[in-house]
This record gives sequence, C-alpha cells and structure tokens, in this order.
Amino acid sequence: MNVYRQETQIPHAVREIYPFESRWIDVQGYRMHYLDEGERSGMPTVVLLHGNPTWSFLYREIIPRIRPSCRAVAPDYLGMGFSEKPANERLYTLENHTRIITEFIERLGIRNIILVVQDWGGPIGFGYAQTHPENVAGMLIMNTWAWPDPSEFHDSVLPWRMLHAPFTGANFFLRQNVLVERGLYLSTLRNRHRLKGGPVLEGYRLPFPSPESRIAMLAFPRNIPRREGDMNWERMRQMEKELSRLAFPCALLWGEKDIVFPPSNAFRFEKLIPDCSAPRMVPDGSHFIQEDAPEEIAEEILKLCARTGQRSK
Amino acid sequence: MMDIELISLEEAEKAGGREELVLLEQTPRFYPEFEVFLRKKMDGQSGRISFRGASGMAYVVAPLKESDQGLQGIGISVKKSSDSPADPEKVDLDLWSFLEWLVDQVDGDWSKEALRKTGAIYKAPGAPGRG
Repeated sequence: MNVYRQETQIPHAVREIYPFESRWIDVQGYRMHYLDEGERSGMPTVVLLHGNPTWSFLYREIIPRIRPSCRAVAPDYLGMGFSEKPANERLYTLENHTRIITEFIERLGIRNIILVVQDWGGPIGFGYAQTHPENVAGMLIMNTWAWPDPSEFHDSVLPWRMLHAPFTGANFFLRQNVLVERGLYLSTLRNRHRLKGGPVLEGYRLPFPSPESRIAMLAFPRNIPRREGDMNWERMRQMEKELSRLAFPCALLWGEKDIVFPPSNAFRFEKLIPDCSAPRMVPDGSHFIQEDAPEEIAEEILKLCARTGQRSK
Repeated sequence: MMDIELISLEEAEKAGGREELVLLEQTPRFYPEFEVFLRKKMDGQSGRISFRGASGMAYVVAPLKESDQGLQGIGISVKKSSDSPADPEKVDLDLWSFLEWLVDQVDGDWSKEALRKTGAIYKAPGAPGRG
C-alpha cells in the first residue's frame, strides 16, 4: 500500500504548546495517532473531534483545562495529523472516517462519552452518535452542520468551489497548502494574530510537509454534498432526520463571525435537537472556535460533564 | 499573467528525457466538465497535452500510468534534462497560467477572474495580486 508515514519529531517551540504524549493504535489496518489525557474518574470521557485542515493540535488549549476533571481523548483522522496517510484520495470518505472513528472508540473501550465536535467533527461525530446513542452522554456542537443542503459559502464558486475543483484544488490544497497557510488565519478572529506565524502556525503545518501528506485535506471538501445524488447527500439527509431522535443533552457554542457555518446553523440545530440548550454565541469568534475561545469551550464541556455526570448517578 | 503555449509532444520531448511530477489530480471528474475538456484537448495519438510556460519550461499533462502504485488521475510533469529539481517558483507561475487557461475554457461557472480572486484571497504562490 502506498502510504505516507511520518515520525512525530516535534520541534521544541511546538512541543511547548502541545505538551502531550503521543499514542498510537492500529484501526482497520491503519496506524492512528491520538491523545489520551486526564482523570479516569466516574465522569464521562470527552472525545474531541477536529475538522479540516486541523488535527488534535486544535484542542491543545482545551485539554489542560478539562483534564483535572475528566479524561480527554483526541484522535487524528486518517490522513490528518500524525495518523497514517494513504495516497489514494478515494479512501478519504465521510463513511470511512466515521467507520474508523467508531472502531477507534470501540478499540479503546470508551464508554459514557461527551462528544465535542466542530467542522467535519460534526458529520463524523453525529455518524457515531446516531449509531451508538447508548454510549453518548452528551454533545457540544460548534460551527458545523449535519444536513445535505450546503451553506452559501460551500455552494459558491468564489472561493470555495474554485479552491477544490479538479487541478485548481490539487494546486491550492496539495502543492500550496493554502488551507493551512491562509485558511486558518482567515477563519479565526480573536486570536487571528497567532495564525500569521510562530509556533501555532508551525504546529498546524507540522504533519503536512509535502503534497502527498495533504491528500485527506483535499478530499474533505469533495465530500460535501451540494445537490441530490452527490456523494453523502443521502447520508446527510438521514443524519438530519435523526437529529430529532437524539436523547442526550446537547450544548451549542458558536463563533458568531463564521461565514462557513453561520449562526443560522446553530439555531437550526437548536430547533432540530430535542434536548438542546440555546446557542452561546462568541461575538469575536469565527470558524476555528477552538483557537478563538478555548476558555468558553472548556466551560461548556465541564458544564455538560457535570450535568451528565449527575444524570448517570 | 502570461498565457501558456500549446506545443507538440515532440517539442516537449526536446526539453529532456526526464520528468518531474509537479501536480497530481486524482479525481479529474469531481466536476466532470474538467475531465471532459481535457480529454478533448489531449492529443489523439499520445493521449497527452504538452505546453510551454512563460518560464520557457515544457510540461506534459497525461493520465497516470498503471505503474504509479495503482493511483488513478491525471498528472502534470515538467520535462527536464537533469535530475535537479525544477525551480519551484517558476513552476508555480507556469502552473498558474495553465490553470487560468483551463478554467477559462471549461464549461460552467468557472472563470479566470474567479481563479484570480481565489488566488489573491489565499495568497497562493504564482497567483497575480497575492499581496
């Protein structure tokens, strides 16, 4: 199999802000990287799911805030972070990512989960939650979606569809890495300055040093359905339909200035999910809310943990 | 921004017997109009498109061979006479001209202007006005 593997040699400046022990597990024949930090108490385990073009590094400022109270597990998806990166773009489907994360959770034997999702973490996390509702105690939903109709941003040629169209996408995503080099900066607000250079940007760049290490990044946007009949249209239609059956509590935290998933998405979730609190908006937050509002995210996670911990007593 | 010059495969071969893959598109049919357009433009005999960029370097656009670890798709390679890597800045500029040529002719909503604006927003190397 043609795969890209990388040693986790983390430069000192990045290690200082990502001071976690790397862990590995084989899932469906792939070597997956993850973090597993914190107390194995009676509290739920928090599973932190990232999006594109990020990896477990995205949760580096949240894990230290929650690990005194609960266990925090943050996997890197196939092709992302330090997980193995097969060369075949066709492997990077929503279905495959969901299958691998499902088996990852099963292999680690994690029970009683608080799922924390943003961007692609949403469709992958809902894919898990809807097939294993008995194992989910609650969910924190941030700047994501779970339906087939695209956001205005995802439906526009300028810039989104141009960014990942045939050949232009290979240039922007694989050759130039613009989603890391510029996209992170454009989609962050309060702490945007950190994405201009220095150790934070260096951290995001680290697992993606070459075009062959970035194939999953290009595949993600190509998995977003726009019209009936597109790949994942039916899957996401079903996902939306089943939101009304979620029986666990959900909280919404939203970067208000996100143009990818605007606040209307948060209100749509609130309407569709039976036990869902009103969205907490972060006025100076954007798409990568983990960069903009780590304190608020940790607060919401701990609130959910306390609420669901009490419920399970 | 300079246009590309379509050349014959024989002309491209004169640049040297070595090739360096500079762009690989595994899913040319993701928007089918891109693949349809390129297949129409490919030389009937060689199944390739050859072009020269503003740098003077010659390129071939060709379906991947079976030997490429089972990957499918269409690759763009620069022709050269030595093993040393092609100048990446020149390649970026030449590739950008190729992409403008491509999106300008593909059916649908695609346009050179939209590509240029996208390149400027994301400060893509090779794009005009990347600030």
